[in-house]
Amino acid sequence: MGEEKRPCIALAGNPNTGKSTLFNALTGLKQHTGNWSGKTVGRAEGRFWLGKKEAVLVDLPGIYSLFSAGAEEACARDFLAFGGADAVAVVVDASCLERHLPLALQVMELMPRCVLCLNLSDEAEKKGIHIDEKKLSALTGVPVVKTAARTGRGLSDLTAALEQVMEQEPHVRHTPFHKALPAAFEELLAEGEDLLPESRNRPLLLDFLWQKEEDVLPDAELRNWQSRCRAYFAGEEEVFALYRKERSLCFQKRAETLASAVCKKDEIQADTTAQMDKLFLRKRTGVPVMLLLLALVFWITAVGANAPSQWLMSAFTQLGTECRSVLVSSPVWLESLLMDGVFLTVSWVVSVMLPPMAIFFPMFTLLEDCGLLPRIAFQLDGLFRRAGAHGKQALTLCMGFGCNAAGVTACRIIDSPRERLIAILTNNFVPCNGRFPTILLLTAVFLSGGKAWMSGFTLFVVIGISVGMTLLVSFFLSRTLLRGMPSAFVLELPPFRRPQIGQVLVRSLLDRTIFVLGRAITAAAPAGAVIWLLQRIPVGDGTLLTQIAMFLEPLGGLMGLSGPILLAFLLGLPANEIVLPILLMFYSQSGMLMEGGSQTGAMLMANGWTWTTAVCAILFSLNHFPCATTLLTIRKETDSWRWTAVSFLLPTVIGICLCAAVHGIFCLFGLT
Amino acid sequence: MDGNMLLSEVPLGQSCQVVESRLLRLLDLGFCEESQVMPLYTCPWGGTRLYHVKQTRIALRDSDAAQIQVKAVE
Repeated sequence: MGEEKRPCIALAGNPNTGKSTLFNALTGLKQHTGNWSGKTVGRAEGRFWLGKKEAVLVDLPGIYSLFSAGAEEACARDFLAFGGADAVAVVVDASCLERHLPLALQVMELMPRCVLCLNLSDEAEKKGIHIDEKKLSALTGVPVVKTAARTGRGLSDLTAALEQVMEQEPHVRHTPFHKALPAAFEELLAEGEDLLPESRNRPLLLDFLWQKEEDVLPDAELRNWQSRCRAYFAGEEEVFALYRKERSLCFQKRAETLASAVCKKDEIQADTTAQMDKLFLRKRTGVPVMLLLLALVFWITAVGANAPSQWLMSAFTQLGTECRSVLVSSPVWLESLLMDGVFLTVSWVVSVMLPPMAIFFPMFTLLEDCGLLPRIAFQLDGLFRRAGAHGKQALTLCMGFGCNAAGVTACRIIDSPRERLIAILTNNFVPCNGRFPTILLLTAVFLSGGKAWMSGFTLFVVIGISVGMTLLVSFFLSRTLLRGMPSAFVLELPPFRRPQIGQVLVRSLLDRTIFVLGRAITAAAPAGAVIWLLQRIPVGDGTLLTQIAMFLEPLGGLMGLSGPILLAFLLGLPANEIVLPILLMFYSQSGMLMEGGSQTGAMLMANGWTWTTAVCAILFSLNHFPCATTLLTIRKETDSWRWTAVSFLLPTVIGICLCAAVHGIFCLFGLT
Repeated sequence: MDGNMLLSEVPLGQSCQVVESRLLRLLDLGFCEESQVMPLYTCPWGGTRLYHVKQTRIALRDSDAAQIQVKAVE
């Protein structure tokens, strides 16, 4: 006997209604959440209990309408239409019912089993909005449940309602549509209805089908019907566009009527978001306040990371001594490989990376949770528009500060393929967490004069340069390789929400920091072993490692760097975090990494580093090829090796030219 | 003169009512006929404004806002 099929429940709704929070609360998973529209790109699946039965829960990207044609919206819409969901929970923001009901009504027509989930009901109550859910249920014909996913309120009611609709017969709903349609159009609809699953709504499916890729359609008859639809609409797209517009208006009007029938609002409620936006969005105050806020974040990161780095390095030194005593009976080469190669590289990566990440990530997540990222995107849109890029690129850029691979994936929120490609190709120009520690250390040792505030300020300037480069390269691409018309830019600004500090700390420390650190260690451990090995293979007068470094020396010298520095960047391809540890290992005469973070600066200086070397190294760190993970993500997202090669070469060539130019200027003024 | 104008031309803080939205996408976002809209802020380098429409705040570039015809309301 085969295993019983698990029921599949989809979570659908407008962006930023708390679907992912609801998904996490029901499944116990850790899907990325944040207070901005469009963070869910692609669908996530998890399992949860529907009464005594285990069910599959699918978190879909937020959509504004089933009629829209954006990539992420198509992903959600196709899943609802053909993905095999048995039921759907339409998640709406209870404080904006009228705004979110049109999509809910469309989904109710498409899906025969449906529950309307009034999420964020706690926020609605705070705003003095009262919704009569029983009346709404009677008027729409679907169960209505109030929830507050962040606090867990109403979740059991939601699962009970879903369980209930799963036991009921499927029921198709229709929003009345009174416009007369051309007879041939009506005939097509009628034919389509016979072919479609009995429980589906024909006008909605017609809209999906006639423009859909053929291989998505389940059978030959449907594909045949689709080609007749295409033939009918060929050259008469405006007829269909008009029909779609009328249908969309129909849902808008019904939503207005329903919302006014079930919602009551107390008079005069203070609008915190409006008050805070006066500070964050006004021309005079907006940009300075945001710059100050970002400077503060970088300053805290720069200042706060020093002491924990020292503690960790001391702890690792002690641990190293213990480990060596355990390995004393093992062969000398094995002890050296494990301790001088693997252990010291890993310990350096952890000591230098963990503290700034553990400080920066939670602060960044707090800003994300309270709703600041879309406001930054709004403030920067004028610049992105002039660069020929999409305004949402500012959001993907912010994601890139965490991880460039995540930033590249986030580019799915940009519908226009041209602008999405610009965003993908330029995401690497902002430093990810893997490059932060290197930049932080170099600024602290060479450019801050020992002052913490100066270190924070320099880091802030470095970030400014990276954003400037992103804009400049976007401008160049939009006028050369990726010329085209700008697409529509629409960005919904969420209300300011008080972040849940406890959850933010747990999420950013455990999910992000430990995840990234784990990845870095995975790359650092074998890299440490490889470097150790390369330093012990004799070639000519030196070792294989020194020979490669000597080969790179002319180019390195031209760029104000050196052969070993370039080699470290090349060997750091698996993960940017290991660039500096590799370099330090190279500098060590015995092939051992020096123990003690305070000696790092001294070691660099002993090997000819000056502040001009640091400036060039920082510039090359900002402008060089992406790490292997990001390259693979770019390959996946663009489905093209050609664009992946461009993403590798573009920043690298820019970095080489930039460093050479800066080094030339330094030489000209006798600064080197 | 029918008194209509483009949404991109409405002064900040002036309430208006949508007469027609040429882009379906904008209609789905709430810029449908008879909706009340108010421009709230302009971004620092211009070309993009924030609008209050149907209980939410939406940023649109002027080229997109010019696809919406509105009339002023008192």
